[in-house]
Amino acid sequence: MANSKLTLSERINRAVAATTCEKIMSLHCLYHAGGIHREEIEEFWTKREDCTWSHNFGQMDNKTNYIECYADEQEANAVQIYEQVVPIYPEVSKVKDRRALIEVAMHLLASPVIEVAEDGQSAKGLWYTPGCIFSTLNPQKAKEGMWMWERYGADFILENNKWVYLNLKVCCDMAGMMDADNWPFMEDSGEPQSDKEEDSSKPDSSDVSVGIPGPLHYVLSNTQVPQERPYIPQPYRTFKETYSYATLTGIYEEEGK
Amino acid sequence: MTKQVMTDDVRIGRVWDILEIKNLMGRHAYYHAYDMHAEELDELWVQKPENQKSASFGQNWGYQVGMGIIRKNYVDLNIKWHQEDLDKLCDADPSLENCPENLGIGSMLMHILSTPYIEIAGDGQTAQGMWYSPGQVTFAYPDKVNALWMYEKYAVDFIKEDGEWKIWHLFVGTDFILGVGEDMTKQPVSDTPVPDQEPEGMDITIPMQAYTSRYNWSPYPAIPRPYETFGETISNGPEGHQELQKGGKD
Repeated sequence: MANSKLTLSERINRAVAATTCEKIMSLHCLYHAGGIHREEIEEFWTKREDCTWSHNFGQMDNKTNYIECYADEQEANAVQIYEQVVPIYPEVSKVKDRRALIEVAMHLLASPVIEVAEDGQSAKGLWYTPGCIFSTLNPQKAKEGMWMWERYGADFILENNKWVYLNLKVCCDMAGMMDADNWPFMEDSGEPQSDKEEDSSKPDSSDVSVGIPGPLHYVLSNTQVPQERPYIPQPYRTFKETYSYATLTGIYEEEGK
Repeated sequence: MTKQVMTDDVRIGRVWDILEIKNLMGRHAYYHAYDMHAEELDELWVQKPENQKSASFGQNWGYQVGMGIIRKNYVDLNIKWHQEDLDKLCDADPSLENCPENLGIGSMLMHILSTPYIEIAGDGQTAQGMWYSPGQVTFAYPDKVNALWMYEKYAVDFIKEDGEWKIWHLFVGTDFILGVGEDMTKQPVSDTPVPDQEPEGMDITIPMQAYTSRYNWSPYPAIPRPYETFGETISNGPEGHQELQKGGKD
């Protein structure tokens, strides 16, 4: 942050806030990898209804929709996967938390930009996430692995003296099978898009019941310049004066909605 | 951690602790890449005898406990492996000099640290951290160069010795290893990411399957939670492993 008029105590406040927001973001990644989604929403998301979670495929545009998609549907998918896997590998019955039997979504965090508002009540963060998704025991009876390079934009707010998420926007740029030549340019690099052939044995992220359908962002294409999404955080005074990562992009920008 | 009003000094001290721990682990990553294992143990790991005794290095196949055995494996055995590799390379290429300066020739290890999550104990004397590590390891052999992706989870306990953070318990759980250009779907499902048993020649204090990605996500090591003193959290040493807590092992 660039404001040099802040007192030492105010700077300390912002250093603590930035460190805390980074921790929340890492905790999100760890919870997501384990499929621990319901706890994530309860522990470090806002209690407000007007929170959002966005991906290329659309936006969960309020708390109810977010819980429905990110917790309820994911848990239902886990049950479905478990029922398909257990006849093949009975040993999975000993797994206590079956939510991770879907896959491990290992979204790593790198290259953070974190801006804390001058009023200390909100913060914005941007990360690259060079990640991957893998599974060992699954209905396909074969290991699966996929690279997935994305960008995270997060709005945090200070709520009852605790930093929590308000909005999280995920922009997927590249995805492809591990490990193949020129994987960003493989035909299935647009994994989150909904127009490809579906594997009926596996829940498809494009099937989630988002309140606002996408696309809100587009994967790498040889006919497209790099997209500035999520927007790069800039120093700001109050959340009302800056943009929100809930802002609809992609098709909505093009249609002027 | 109990909610209490903290002074600015205390609050910035905790932010500073996190920065120091990030640097400490960053140094570990570079020391490891540069084969500075002896320096790493002397500079970055615990030095007080009572902490050295309980220091541990855990991997998928179990735990090394105590700095003596850690040094034997991490320093001495590593040099032995490098010497064996160099001997083979020199046999294949007589122009290559077989000297200590060439140990590790052709190899490159990068265990990158990402996704840092660090909890400082309420009493400020210990800390716990977790990182995802997207890495690559490359080794040269007389007939080929072998390059592998290696994705791991790091879980680490730190303790302050005379005001400096030191590595106390290091656990590295390997999720998968994949040849660069290898199709993961062709790996047999029965293959574990690393052998169930420790590499030949490595002494292990507690051999066990401490970590596996067979069921995808491993709940061990535990994600750090806020805590007041080390006694009330789950150690990343062997005493914190659920199988050992039950009095048995896999």
